[in-house]
Amino acid sequence: MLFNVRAFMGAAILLLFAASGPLHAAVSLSAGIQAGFMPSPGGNLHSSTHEKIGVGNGIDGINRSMSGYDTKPVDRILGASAGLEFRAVFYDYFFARLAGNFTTRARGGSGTTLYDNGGTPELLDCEYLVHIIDAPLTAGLVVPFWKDVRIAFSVGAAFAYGNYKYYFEPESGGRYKGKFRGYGFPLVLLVEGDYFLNEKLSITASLAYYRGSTDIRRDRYRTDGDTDYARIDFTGYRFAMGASWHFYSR
Amino acid sequence: MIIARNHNCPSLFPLVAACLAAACLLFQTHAAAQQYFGVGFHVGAHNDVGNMTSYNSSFEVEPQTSYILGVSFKANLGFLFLRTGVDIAFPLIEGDVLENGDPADPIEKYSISYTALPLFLGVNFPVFDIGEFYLGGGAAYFLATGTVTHGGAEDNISASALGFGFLVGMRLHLSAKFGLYMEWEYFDARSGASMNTVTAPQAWDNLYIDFSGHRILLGVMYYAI
Repeated sequence: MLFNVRAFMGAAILLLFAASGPLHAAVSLSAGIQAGFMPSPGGNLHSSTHEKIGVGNGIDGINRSMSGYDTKPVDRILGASAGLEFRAVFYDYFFARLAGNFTTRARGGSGTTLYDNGGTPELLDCEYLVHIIDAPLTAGLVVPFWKDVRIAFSVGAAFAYGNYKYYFEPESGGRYKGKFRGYGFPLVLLVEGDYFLNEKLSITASLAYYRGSTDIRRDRYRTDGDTDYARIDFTGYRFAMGASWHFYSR
Repeated sequence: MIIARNHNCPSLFPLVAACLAAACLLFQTHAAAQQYFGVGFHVGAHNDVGNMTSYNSSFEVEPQTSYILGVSFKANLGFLFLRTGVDIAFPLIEGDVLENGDPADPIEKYSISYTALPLFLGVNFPVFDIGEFYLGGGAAYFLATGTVTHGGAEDNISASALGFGFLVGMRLHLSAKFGLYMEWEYFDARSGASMNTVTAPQAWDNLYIDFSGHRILLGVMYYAI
C-alpha cells in the first residue's frame, strides 16, 4: 500500500516535470491589475430592524407586491470590483499571492416594497449600499502547461473591511436607517489562470471564494431613535479578469 | 447488503474511464486543430432549487433536485471565449417542507421548472493538445413555472429573474470535430415576489423563486468551425 502511494506520488511529480519542461527560474515575480464582479456582497444584509418590519431574511424577504401598489423589486446587490495583485512563483511550482481589492455596488439594492403599518399595507422605499476593501494572502501550487499557460490553486485568508448602509423610507414619512462598519478575516480559496501573450505579459482570470464575516456590529446612526445590529458577510464568489506583468525572473 | 449489491451491479466507472482513455489515445493526433465555434449538448443537475431554507429558516426541507438538459454554443477568439446556450431544468425530486415552524407561511410542497439563458465571457487555458480549462463570468436570465402547495391548496407560480455568476469548465478533445466537456456553473439569482403564501390579513405576494446554486453539466461538443 505504502509502495503504491509512493509510486503514485513519484509518477505525479515526474508528470509535473515532464509537463513543464526543465525548471528555469528560482523566483519569478509579477504584478497585475484585475477587474470583475461579486454577486451579493454583504450577503442578505439582514439586521434587527428588518425583523421590526416583519422580514426574517434581509434583502431577500423584503420584497412584497400587491395589485394597486407601485412596487419595484429590491434585488440583491451586484458588486463591481477592481484590484491589484502581486505574485511570486518559486521553483516554477510554488505560488504566493497578495492582492488588494475594492468592491462597490454596481446594480441592485434599491426598490419599493410593502410593509405592514398597523394592519394596512404601506409603500416602503429601500436602498442598500455596500463597500468592501479586502487584501487576500494565499499560497499554493501552480501547474505550468508549456510556456503558454499557468494555472494556480491557492488557499489563505484575507483582511476584509466592510461598510454597509441602508435607508427605508415609509410613504407616510419618517426614515429607518442603519450604518455598519467592521472587519473580518475570511478564508480564501483561489484558482487563477495565466495565458501568456509573451514572456512578460499574461492575461489572467481568477475565481475566488471567501468564507467569513464581521462579528455583529451596532448601528452607527445613534440619533435616529432606532438602534440596529447586523453583521457584514464577506462570503461569496468573486470573478475577475486582468493582465499581469512578469517583471522579474531569476 | 452493500457487498451483495456491488456484486450484482458492478460499477460502470472503470469501463467508462477505459473507453474515454481509449478514445483519447485513438484520436489525439487529430486534436491539435484550433476550434473556433462549437455546439454542445449536455445533461446536468441542480440541487436545492428554490433554496427554501434560505427563504424561511423555520422550514426543514427535502430540497428539490432538478436535472438539466441543454444546448451550448461556445465561440473562441484567441484566449477569449464567449459561451451561451439554453438550459431547461425539470424536477427530479420535488421539494417538500418536512417541518414548518412558521404557521404564518404554511408552504408544504413545491415543484419548479425553469429555463436559463446564460452568457459568459472568459479566458481559455489550453492544456497541451488534449483539451482546455476555461474560466468565465457572466449573467443568465431565468424563466420559471411551477406549483406550490400551501395551506392545502396547490397554486401555479411563474417568475423571472436576472442572475450573475461564473463558469469553470474542462474540455477534452476526442477528435478534431468532437470533444467532451464538463462544467461547473454558479448563479446568484432571485425573482421578485410572485405568489401570496402568507396567511391573512396579509394579501401581498411574498414568495420569490431563488435560482441561486451550483450546476454541474456534462456534455459532448461538436466543433462546427
